[in-house]
Amino acid sequence: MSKTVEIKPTTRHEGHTNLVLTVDDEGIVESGAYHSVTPVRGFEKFLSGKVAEFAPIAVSRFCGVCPTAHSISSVEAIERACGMEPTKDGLILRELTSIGNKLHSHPLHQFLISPDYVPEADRAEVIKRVQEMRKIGQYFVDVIGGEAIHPPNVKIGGMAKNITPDAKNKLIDRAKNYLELAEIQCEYMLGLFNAGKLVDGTEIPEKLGYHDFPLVATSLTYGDSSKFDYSQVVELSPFEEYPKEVAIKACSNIPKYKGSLIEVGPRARMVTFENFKETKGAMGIHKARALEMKHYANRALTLLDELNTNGAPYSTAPVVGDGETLGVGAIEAARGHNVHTAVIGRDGRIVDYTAIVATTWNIPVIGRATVGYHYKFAEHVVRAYDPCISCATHMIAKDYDGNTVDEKVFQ
Amino acid sequence: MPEYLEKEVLVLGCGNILLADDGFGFAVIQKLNGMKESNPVLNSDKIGIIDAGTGASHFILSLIDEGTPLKKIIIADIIDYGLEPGRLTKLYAKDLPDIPKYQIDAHDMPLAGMLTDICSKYGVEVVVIGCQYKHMSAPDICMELSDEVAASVDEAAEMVIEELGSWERTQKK
Repeated sequence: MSKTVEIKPTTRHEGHTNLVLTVDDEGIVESGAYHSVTPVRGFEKFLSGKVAEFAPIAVSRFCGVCPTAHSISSVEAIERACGMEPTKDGLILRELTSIGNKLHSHPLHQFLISPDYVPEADRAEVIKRVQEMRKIGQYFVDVIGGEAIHPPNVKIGGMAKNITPDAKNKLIDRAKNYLELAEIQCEYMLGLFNAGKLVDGTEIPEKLGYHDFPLVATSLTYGDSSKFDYSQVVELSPFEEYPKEVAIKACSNIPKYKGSLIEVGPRARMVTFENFKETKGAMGIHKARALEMKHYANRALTLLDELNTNGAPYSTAPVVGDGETLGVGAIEAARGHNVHTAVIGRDGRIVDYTAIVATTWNIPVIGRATVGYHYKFAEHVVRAYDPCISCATHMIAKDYDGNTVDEKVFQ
Repeated sequence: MPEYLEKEVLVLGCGNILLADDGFGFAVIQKLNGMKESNPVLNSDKIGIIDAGTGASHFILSLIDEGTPLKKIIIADIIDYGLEPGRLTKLYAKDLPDIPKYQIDAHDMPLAGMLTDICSKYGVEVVVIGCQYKHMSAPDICMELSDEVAASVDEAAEMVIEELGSWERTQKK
């Protein structure tokens, strides 16, 4: 006899979600549905008709966790819609801002999972290191992005300002410092993930979280829209993926790429670009995330070396589109492939805007990835993806004729 | 360390400009930024004035730890105390609701618990300039403040400047 186990809300991640599992008599998960219950807010609809320059500002308010990633996806999408080329140094500065965001986010996730994996005796030291690393990440966003939270320098055509040679030198020092900390932190966390044990001694099943869905990433450190074919994206209603009683509460669409659900994020990036193959599943994601911290610091050093602080930070080409060209901005946010699309009119206003954020891709995969093991392990699968739900909330409720095709219940 | 963590005073405008009266904190920050010429205290390099949006806990408060040079945090935000809309109230750490500290969701870390912690652990003075809201549009988007809340922005900015003045006086002693 199958029983239903509901975990609501799931904890220690960002946003509101529920996990609905059916389990057999031994408690082994037979099916898993993970879904967002954050109310739909209709950000995209609201952008229609606004001037293009408003989009990166507005989308940075999607949520309080990844404002940087959204601003950058937005300007990338708009530049493509307008056929604009950002300047070389603008692009370097932008990638550095994006890296700063990840330098902050990845260690924070290790803080969130520390009650699961980090022994009590080590915790203070680990958290101290995490704090140091987060501060360096924020130093990057603050100095290059222009402000700590919603970086105002992220601009269509590049970045609003270049940095001084003095700031560049300080950033190089910070990146080197981060690299040292990341090496210690990465080695420590890899030790825990290789041991595969929770702090209470429970062994994590070796294949926990394994699934066969494809991995998608366009870059290790930034994003490359040319590697992503947006015409292969289909967004389905939750009713097509979840049982009816779950679907009616689910607040995000189900996106598929080339006909399949996909996993995005650290493991997708590390497998695609660094041939990271030794671990799949939940532990694979944790390990990939730990390893990425070093790649980001190294990439930051390379970019800082390439940066010409006298170079033009942004292009002065006009921000106008043709009212038809769909610009795609695919950026690797901390949690993965974050895609914004924009169509800009000849008057420089937004004709159409959409966002499929990193976690939206992962949501349906997470539920499926809990199958095959005891439900007590399900939360560890969820947390491995570092889901960030608020901005993932997204749906289409009407068809082209204005008929309602979907409905929602908010609790 | 990012520069904003090296300040002695942080003025944080909290809330989301996309959700009607929740944009109050942002409006106060905008106002303050426009008052710098006539109020030299706002230009002090010991003061950080930040549009914190909905990221104050994530990017600022959770990064404050021992060794912080911070003496005072001034927050501008909306409150729901059942007052008449637009009414301003000053709240101190002891007045903040005793919400259990973050347990479930890093996105919804309640500010109150973190602020009381920062006050008691690191001796940072906390002042909230709270404005009773009229209209909070979530989950819908609305980019305008209600008339009542908009009318309180100037006074709220003055209250922030008063608080900065009292910090400045303790400096000179």
